[in-house]
Amino acid sequence: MTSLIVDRLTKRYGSVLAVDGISFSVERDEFISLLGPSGCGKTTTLRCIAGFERPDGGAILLNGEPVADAATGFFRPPNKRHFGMVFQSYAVWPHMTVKENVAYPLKVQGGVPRAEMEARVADKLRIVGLVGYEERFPTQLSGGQQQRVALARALVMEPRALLFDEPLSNLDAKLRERMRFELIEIQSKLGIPAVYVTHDQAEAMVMSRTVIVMEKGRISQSGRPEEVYARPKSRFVADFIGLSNFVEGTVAGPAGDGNWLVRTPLGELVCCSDEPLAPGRAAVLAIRPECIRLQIERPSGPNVVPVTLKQRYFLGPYSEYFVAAGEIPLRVQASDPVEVAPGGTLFAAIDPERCRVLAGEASPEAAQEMAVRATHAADLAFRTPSVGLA
Amino acid sequence: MAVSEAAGQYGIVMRRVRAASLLDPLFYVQVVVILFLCALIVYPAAILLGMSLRDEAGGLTLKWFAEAYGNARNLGAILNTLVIASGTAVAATIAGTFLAWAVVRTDMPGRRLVEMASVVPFISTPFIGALAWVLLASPGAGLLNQLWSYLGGPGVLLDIYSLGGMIFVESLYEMPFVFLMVAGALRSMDPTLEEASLSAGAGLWRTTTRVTLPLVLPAILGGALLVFVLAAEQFGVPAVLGTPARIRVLTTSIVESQASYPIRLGLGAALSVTLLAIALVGLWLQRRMLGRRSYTTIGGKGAQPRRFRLGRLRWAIFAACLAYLMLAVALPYAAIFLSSIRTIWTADFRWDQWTLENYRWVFFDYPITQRALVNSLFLAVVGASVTMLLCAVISFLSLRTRLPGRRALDYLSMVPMGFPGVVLAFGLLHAWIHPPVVLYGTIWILFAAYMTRYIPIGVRATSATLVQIHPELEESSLSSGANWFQTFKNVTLPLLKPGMLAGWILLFIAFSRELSASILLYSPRLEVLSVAIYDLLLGGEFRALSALAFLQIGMALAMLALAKWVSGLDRTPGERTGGRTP
Repeated sequence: MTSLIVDRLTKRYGSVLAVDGISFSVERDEFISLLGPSGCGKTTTLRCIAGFERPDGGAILLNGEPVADAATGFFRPPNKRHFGMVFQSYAVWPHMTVKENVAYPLKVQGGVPRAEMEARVADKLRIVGLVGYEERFPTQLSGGQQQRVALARALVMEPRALLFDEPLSNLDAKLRERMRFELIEIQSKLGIPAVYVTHDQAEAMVMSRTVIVMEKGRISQSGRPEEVYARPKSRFVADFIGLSNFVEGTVAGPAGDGNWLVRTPLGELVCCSDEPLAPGRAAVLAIRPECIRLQIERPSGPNVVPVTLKQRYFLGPYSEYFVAAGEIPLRVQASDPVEVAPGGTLFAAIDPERCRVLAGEASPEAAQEMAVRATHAADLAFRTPSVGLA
Repeated sequence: MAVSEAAGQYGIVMRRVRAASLLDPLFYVQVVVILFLCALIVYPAAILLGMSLRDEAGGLTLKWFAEAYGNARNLGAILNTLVIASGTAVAATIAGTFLAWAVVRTDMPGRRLVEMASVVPFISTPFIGALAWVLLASPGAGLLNQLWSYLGGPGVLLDIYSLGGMIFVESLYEMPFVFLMVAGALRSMDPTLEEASLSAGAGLWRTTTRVTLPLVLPAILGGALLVFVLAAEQFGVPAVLGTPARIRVLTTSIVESQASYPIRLGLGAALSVTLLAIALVGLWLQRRMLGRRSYTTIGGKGAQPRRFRLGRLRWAIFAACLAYLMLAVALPYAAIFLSSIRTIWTADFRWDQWTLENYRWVFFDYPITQRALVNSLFLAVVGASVTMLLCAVISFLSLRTRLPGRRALDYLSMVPMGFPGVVLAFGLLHAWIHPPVVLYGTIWILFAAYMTRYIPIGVRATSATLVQIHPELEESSLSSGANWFQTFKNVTLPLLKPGMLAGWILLFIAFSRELSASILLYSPRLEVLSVAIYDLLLGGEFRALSALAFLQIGMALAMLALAKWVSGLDRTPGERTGGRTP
């Protein structure tokens, strides 16, 4: 059942179009993430939902009722929306105790008897694991504890939706990981829609049922995390979520089994595509580093390319290989070691099912522009091998 | 139609986008505040301008300006104002920059002591300083001159009743503004900028002249312009030191035009407009200077700036810095204190000359003192409180809302900075002397003048605190269901408290000793402390005046101690400004 609807939402700041007519919906118990680099419009979208920004176009509806509708001029202020929000800076009030912070929404809204207020505050503090901290001031708490106070405060008013604005980004790595799971668990019990804004793709994939990748105020792609990762539609998505090698080429024709043959500088590669490809069309291939196998002996099968090993870096669970097929640099991640010194020759086998033609990168102009950018990106990858999959 | 239908359908109060801000109660708060500020600032300025352009019959005329610039007396006052302001700016800037450099960038001993220079303006006004320097260096009875004669020196050593004397005294008491700005710039400068120059092979001297100096130059020039404006606006010093030598400046001429017969208000208005123009141009230039400062203030916090090792020179430089404290603090305050407990002012200290009679007389026999004290305390306590609350509302409206007109509000609240006290008083006086609203003759005209003069300082205190309060702290209150009023009361005001308290103490000190606006606005029975001192000066009662001046200094010192105590209290429960405490 659909609960929160964002319909053709537009927000302008002067001449800058921060959010450019985006639409999505969140089901009643769904956890979705808005993911993208800074300036992509994800936070603006969230602030429109919360009521801190007034949309210039489109509407936001909760359970069928609008909370903001630019067409009619209707706008419900944030204090009338009953959306629980958790902020990046925690935003717990330093002049109030933990208990006062959490009780605040009930106090200002009024009408809650004292005993019930106490009970609800105690209940929420128990859920976030802050029993015993009631009388402390936020300055006496760690960052993680402050964020729990903020969460309890958002929960105590029994919100109709939960909004998160990069709530974990100020926490250290270990705590961040733990809080991810706690947040999902709490949300799954509430049965209300949750919108989570982050620039951390790992966080988005771990936590959400649906990931919405945004770029320049628009939705680039949305779907289940597995789907977005395995079948990116554009170079931007393929690059922002995980890592990808990009190879340009021209479609040669069908290769059977629903696959396609693409002529590239690596030779003719068998690839898969979500749509039929016209021969002669420009195509961009995205190949995940972990979808390339490196072998000393030439294996049989399609998509085998001889490469030279440039560098190898050991990262623990896997190793990072920078290889080159002629002039074309490729990045490979593999868990089984390949014992060859730099400069040695190897064979790279690319799984046809994981060698994808990007649907959104078809036009020749786009391909042209991308070719230039790809070269830069590859250059960069060679120089900064520490960039992991984080 | 569609709107109200939809409203009925959803059962929610409807607002139009365009009209939303008109329905917002905050909007009305803002309208009231803007109208209030207009009544205090824009309307008096308009009255002033009108008066300067109308003759006795009410026709348009330029004759007042012709008289202001054509008459030798008035032109002399303008030139004297410019000479004193420029001289003060140059002297204060050189001394202030030197002191700032010595404190921040050298290994001079006693840096913490010299740092006290920054407190000097809080202890007393230049007016009190000028009175003290009369005791020290008037040609007849000045203590230093008496000593000079006693040692057999020929003639008079120092004549404080001169242009040079005025420049000297004003420099002493306005130098700290340059010191604070330059020391601030030097401290906040990214030390790696200098380290980069050093590692590029430039020596310490070349680094100082090629990197450090250009980076702090905007602060130095900004400080110089500020001092220029402050000196041009100064009334107390020329009233004390210029009048006996018949050296007139703009401020004293404006007061004279109002106070002496024949009253020529048009001339006073023309002179006021002239002074206002000088001040506004100075401040505009200053803002432009400081606007360029931004790049120096980006800095790594941890690293300490490199200090010059002065070697043997360190004691010489320390002595130079100490000389400043002697001239600005030790000598003058000692002179005031001594004068207040003696029967006669001579360098020959005999035991039978010590007395408390001056205090008894000034507090019990002199009729003005008691009511002046009551008035000044009322204005200081109530005035500072009301002003700070107003400033908190102004800061909140201009920083935290997107109401139309909030820029106008921000601008209006900064304009009084360009209003010399005498000019503001002149405008307010004539704006609010006619029925139906007659403020003149009541304490509220003084209240209005003090409030208007110090709104910029109050707003700066509250805004500086407010920008450190993360907006998410207020947004989280809104999303908790609180409205704007609840949010302001429960979240914004409590978090603003430290800034408001600091601002309150600042305003209390300023209000308890305001002179340059009061001199035009007081009326019989509505004297204030500084007016009482001024009145004693006109009567030549230097020993009684010293007793009152000493009281004023004592009050300021007590407030400074209170401020220190309060800020110490506030620090104990931890940082209170922001939610970001990782």
